[in-house]
Amino acid sequence: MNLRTVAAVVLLAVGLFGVPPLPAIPTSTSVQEPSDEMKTAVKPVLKVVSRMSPIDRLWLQNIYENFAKVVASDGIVDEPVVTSTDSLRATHIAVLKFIWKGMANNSPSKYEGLAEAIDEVMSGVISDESRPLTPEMRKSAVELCRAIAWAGLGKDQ
Amino acid sequence: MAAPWRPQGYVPNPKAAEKYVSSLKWPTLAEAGPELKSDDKRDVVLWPAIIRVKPNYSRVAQAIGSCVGHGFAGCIDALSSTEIVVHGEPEDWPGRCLEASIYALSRVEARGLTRNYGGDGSYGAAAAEAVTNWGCLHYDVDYNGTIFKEYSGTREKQWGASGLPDELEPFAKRRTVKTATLVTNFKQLCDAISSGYPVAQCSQQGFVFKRDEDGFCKANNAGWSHCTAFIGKRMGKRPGALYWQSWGPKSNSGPHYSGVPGKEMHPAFEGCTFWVDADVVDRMLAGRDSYALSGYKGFPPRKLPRWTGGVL
Repeated sequence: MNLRTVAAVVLLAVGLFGVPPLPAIPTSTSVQEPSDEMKTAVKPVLKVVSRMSPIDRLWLQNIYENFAKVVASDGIVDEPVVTSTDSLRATHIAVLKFIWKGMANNSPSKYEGLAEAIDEVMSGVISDESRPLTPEMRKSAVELCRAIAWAGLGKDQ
Repeated sequence: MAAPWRPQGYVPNPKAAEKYVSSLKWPTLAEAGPELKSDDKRDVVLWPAIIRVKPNYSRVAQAIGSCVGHGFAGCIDALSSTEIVVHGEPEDWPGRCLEASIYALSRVEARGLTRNYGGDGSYGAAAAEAVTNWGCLHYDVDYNGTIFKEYSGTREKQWGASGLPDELEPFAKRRTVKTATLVTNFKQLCDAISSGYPVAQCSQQGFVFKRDEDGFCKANNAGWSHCTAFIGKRMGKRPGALYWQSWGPKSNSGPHYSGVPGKEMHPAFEGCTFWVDADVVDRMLAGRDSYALSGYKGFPPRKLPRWTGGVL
């Protein structure tokens, strides 16, 4: 099939079915305002967010809103899956891979300092050590993720 | 057909045991933890904590008369994992406790000897002294280039005579048990296990191998000179303690009760544990050489790799 034939097929398809929809991008959800303590904690993220495109800021919100839901609901119906900082980290990376890399098609290091900022706040608020996840740590993790989602709004800029 | 050889290795030494107990600050559990109380209605088992920290956990069958090393090593596995899971202690769980380390220390160093060319075996007080004052080693930990990957009865035989190699002693000293306390009856065992403290029992009690419909093995007069771990207690109509055998994963069969209502016994424990009736436990512990272990000096937590895993 030569290039002219492909173009003809595409034009015919557009004529018949219309322009295909663009990939779905997230829309802003109702992001809860975090506590002052969490606002302070996520300041390193806010600095990087100011350099991010509006779409990627929405993706950031989407990631952390969903991750907060996952962590908060884990163990309510069945045995908890996220029981340690190791499994929390693994779930976090899985969500990042699924949304940031898979859905948003973003490459690593797209925004200089973003990974470092997220790492800094997660280590500071939750832990940088391998240890069992206590109910208090789980609660902090949920609040932190909601605060990162809120940081995605860039309201503090 | 002859029954398979099942090594034991408890060599009672009542005089030494009494001497050791009298040297303790708090000789009995009643003195060590008067506030410890067992809920008479609740069943408590420690094995789920082990599976939580090590999902593929499994134990071996002792190859020589080193049961004292195996019984106390099982207790340390239960104690250290319970401290991590239940008490939320920020520690890393590196691997199973190396049975040979406790066995060697209990035969040589803890007795103040430099060599022990006597036959195989040891006794509870010597092992209690070993784990509290000399510590223990673990599988899969790098001791300055020496890593123990597999169980070896030959190692137990050699170390049982020579003691723990000198170069390994400083590593063992980092991992000690804070307290070993004499347990002399079922009630005290329940109090200990309810607090997450396993009990290393040393006795001459034998059992049938097949569990009955309630998961119990009936006591018989087989006369096992044996040391094992008690890692659970059950109450209700037939109270008892969960006996953890060191004869491999297929040493017992029959119906079982995991200690957790509605939950199956984990495969790693299914074939090597059974329940012992409370009156039999009373008889076993009356020998005054069984100990509850508490307060393990564990491994500091490992640092996590980066939270974002190279994705952002």
